[in-house]
Formats: sequence, structure tokens, C-alpha cells
Amino acid sequence: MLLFFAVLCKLAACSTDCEPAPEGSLGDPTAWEAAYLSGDGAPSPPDYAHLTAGDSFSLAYVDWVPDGWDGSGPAMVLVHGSSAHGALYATLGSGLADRGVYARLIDMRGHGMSRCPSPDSCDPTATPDYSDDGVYWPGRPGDALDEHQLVRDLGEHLDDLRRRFPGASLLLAGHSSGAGLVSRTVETAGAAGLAGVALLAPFNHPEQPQVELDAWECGAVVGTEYAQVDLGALGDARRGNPHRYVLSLNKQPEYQDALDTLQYTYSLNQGLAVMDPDAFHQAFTLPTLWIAGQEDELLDLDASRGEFERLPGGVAFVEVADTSHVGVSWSDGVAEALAAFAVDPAGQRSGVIEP
Amino acid sequence: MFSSLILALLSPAAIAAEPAMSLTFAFEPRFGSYAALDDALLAYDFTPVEGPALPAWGLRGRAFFEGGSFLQLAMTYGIRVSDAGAIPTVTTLTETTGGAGYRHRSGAMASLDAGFSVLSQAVASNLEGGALVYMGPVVHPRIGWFTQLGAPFGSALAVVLGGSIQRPVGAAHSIPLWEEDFERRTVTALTLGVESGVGLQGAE
Repeated sequence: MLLFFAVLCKLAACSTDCEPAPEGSLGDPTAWEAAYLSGDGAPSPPDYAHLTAGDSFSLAYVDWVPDGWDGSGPAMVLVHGSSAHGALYATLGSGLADRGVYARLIDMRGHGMSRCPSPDSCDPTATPDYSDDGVYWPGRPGDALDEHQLVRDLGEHLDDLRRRFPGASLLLAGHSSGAGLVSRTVETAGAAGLAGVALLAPFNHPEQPQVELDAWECGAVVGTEYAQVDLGALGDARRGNPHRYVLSLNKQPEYQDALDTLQYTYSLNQGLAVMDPDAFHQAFTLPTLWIAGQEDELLDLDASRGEFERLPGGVAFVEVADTSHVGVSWSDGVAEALAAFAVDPAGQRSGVIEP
Repeated sequence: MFSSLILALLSPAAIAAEPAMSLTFAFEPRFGSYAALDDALLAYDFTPVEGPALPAWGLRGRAFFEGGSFLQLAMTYGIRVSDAGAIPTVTTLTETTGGAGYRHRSGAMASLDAGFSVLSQAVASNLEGGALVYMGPVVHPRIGWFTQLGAPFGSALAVVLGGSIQRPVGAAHSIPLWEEDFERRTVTALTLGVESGVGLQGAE
């Protein structure tokens, strides 16, 4: 009888050994990136400022102001990548300001210093509360009210700069998933009033061809070593609970920061991707700069170039030598390329730059 | 089944005999925890079971020994279609057990079966669907009354009351987009059975 049960159980797969999801990796830093990480790192950013959003939530940002800024030059809003926050992009902010570009580095809602109910209650050293109760509140780590919330927030920043500097030439830039938000913004809100868009190692949408997905835990978790989707929570989110945490972001220790946001809800995650992966390119009629790291382990260089070539306004595909996905955000060479683009969006040429 | 039971009881040759073997058809409805996951089913927009009853039937074979002990094999199949929602939820039960028992000369008997049980629920909404399958060992104690009318062949009749306790093993589904909302620790049910069939008389 026991043998009978054992055979039935085997046939029914009563127990299966499931491979656990890996700890995660963004890829190894290159030589110069390792030196950057072990050195003094990024320059110290200016103090945070706050912008009151339409729902009265306080959005944190840092403005890097060029010496002698009179409001008539280029001004760029830079959106950080997934799990990160604006202060980690201080090299770009500093590099842009040094070259005469007003740079606003924002902390997206639910990230960095924009994940607190109020500025006074934000404790950067506190561990974020990722209680997966599916209940949204403004500033909840890794969450947004709906999939268009981040576009609205980004619009608030652009409007703020337009009000403050009506004579400035406005540009939009984003890195990785931040470039996904920028792409979604251009796709859904248009590019009116923008002089150009810069996409740094953009992760526009989950279906982009350069992303290879793995599966773990008997298929319950899929993604990359860095970004892993809990399919059970995803199913619940699709059944009407969009504020479930569906995406885990895993960074190796050398990339970790106290203000990282490592869990994303479905609502926020949707807001970081374009709505139509096949057709969003058509909205990029304005001058567009694409910057890609040659050592990016997350995005394939050739596939990225193929995506760039589908942008009607694409002016330059710039490769950064010896630079990984994250390293793009630490490179003064990238800051120089962004600044040149900000000054003359249509005048850039494709090529390879040093970090 | 009921007609043979009535005919047997009314027959002039209805003389109780000590059985040696019997094969009966059992109508054994269950009243159990089949609707325990209704809240989870509703959360997924599936149709709830909405009730504990599960009509079930099957075959029972028994071999009796001197002194009143007996061995038995049982197969049971049950089905319930709940269609209070957009798409019916279909609950099916397949249970195969073997066991032993004791029957007093008065006809009173008690038995304990053990075996393998599969409870499955086919569920679907307008968006998605699948099956929940709970399989694992089951124990099924019963008490009741058994008699045979007629010899050497006659009608075997029984009325039994029992309880089924199944312990599902493993995951109920392998659909990645479903969470663990459908886990069951046990499936329990009260069973009430009426059996009718044929019996072979044993030694007097």
C-alpha cells in the first residue's frame, strides 16, 4: 500500500525541489568603476529641495545650479534608475552644472527622500517598510497611486522649471528604468516644450529584446538576477490589487545604498515602462540622445542600437567604453556628452567616449 | 439500489444469513469542508462551492471471516457542480481505500479504511482558470449495520455512518500567477452511506 501511495505521489509531483532565486547582481564593476567605488565617490550634492505635487505630496529633488546661472541656458531634469535615487547621480549633476547646464536630479515618488509622508518624517537611515498589505499611501516605498502617477510627478518638475526659468531650454534625461519613465512620458504626454531627450542605458519595457529572463522557485519567480518578479503577487495585482509588491531588486553589496528602494508595486512598476513596446518609438520626434555602456551586462549593445534606430528623432548613439549599466551614471564623460547635447541637441554624432 | 433494498426486505425469503463475501453499490453522500476555500475562490472571481454537500457513490467489496472480522475494498466517486457564478466550479472526488472491520452477529459493524484520495476543483473566471488538485492519504472510519438476506446468494444491505479525513500532500496547483491561497491542511467530511448488492452466504 505504501508503495502504491509513493508511486501515486511521484506521478502527482507531491514534492518538487525548487531552485531558489539568486541573491542578485547588476554585473561586476569595471576597473575604473571599482576605483570609483573605492574612492571618494560622487561629489557631495546640494541640499534637498521639495516640490509639492498635485496630491500635496512632497517630491524631493536636488538642483545643481551652474555658476552665473541666469535662467536662459539649458536645464535638464534627470530621472534615476530603479532602486536608486538622485543623490547617486551627483557626478552627472555636478558635471552638468560645471558645464553650464542647470540639472535637476529628482527622487521619484516612493524613492530616496520622496518616500516619506512628509519631509520632516523622513529618516534616511530607517529601513523602508515593505509591508505587502496592498494599501497605498503617498510616499509608500516603491509605490505610486496609479501607473500614470510618476508621469504626472515628472510633469510637475518640468512645469516648475518652466515657471521659474521661462527662458531656459528644457531637456529630459533618464537612466535605466528612469529612462523608461522618460519614454513613457514622451509616449503619453508628448514632448511639447522639450528641446531634447537623453536616454541612458534605457530599460523602456520588459519585452525589449535584449532582456533574457530566467525562472526560479519552480517558475514562481521570473526575471534577471537583479530584478525578479513574484508571479503570485503579479497575478493578484492583475486581479485588482495593484499595490502589491511584485518586483524585488537585488544589488550586490558594493552597489547598495541606505536610500535604495528594493521592492516595487505593480502600480509603480507599470509606470516605469512604456505602454506600447512596439510603437512608443514613434513619439520620439524630438532630438534624442542614446547613451549605452559597452560593458552593460543587462542590456545588449546591438539590440539597444536597433531600438535607437527606430526613434525618428534619434541624433546620436553614444557608447561609453569600459562602462557597465550602473557605471553610466558615475561617468563624467557621460556628463560631458549630456552637456554637449543640452547645448546643441541636434548637433551630436554617434561614437565612443571615455568614461 | 433502493428498489433492490425494498424488494429484499419484502421478500418472503428474507432470511438473515452470515455473509462470506459481498459486493455492494454504495450511495454515500458527504458533508464536509468542500466550501472552505470559498473566500479565496471569490477573490479570484471563481464560483464558490457554496455548501458542504458532495454527492458520492461507489463500490464496496467485503470478505468476511469467522469471528466477525472482515476486509473490504472501496472505490468512491463524487461530483458537485456549483454554477452560482459566471463559470461553474466543478468539484470531483476519487477515493480508493482498503481496510478491515468487525461485524457482530446482530449486523452492527465498525471498520477503518485507509487509502488514497484525490479531490479536485476545476475553477475559472472570465479571465483565467485552472484546477486545484488535493491528493494524498485518507482514513475513513465507519460504523453501521450490515445484513444479508437470502442464502446462499442473497441481497446484501448496509447502512453506514463515517468520517473521511484526507491529508493533501504537495501543492494544489502549479499556476505561477496564483498564490498560496488555496492551501488545505485537511479535507474532512461526514459520510452517510446506504449500500445494496449481492452477498454469498458463509458457514452457519
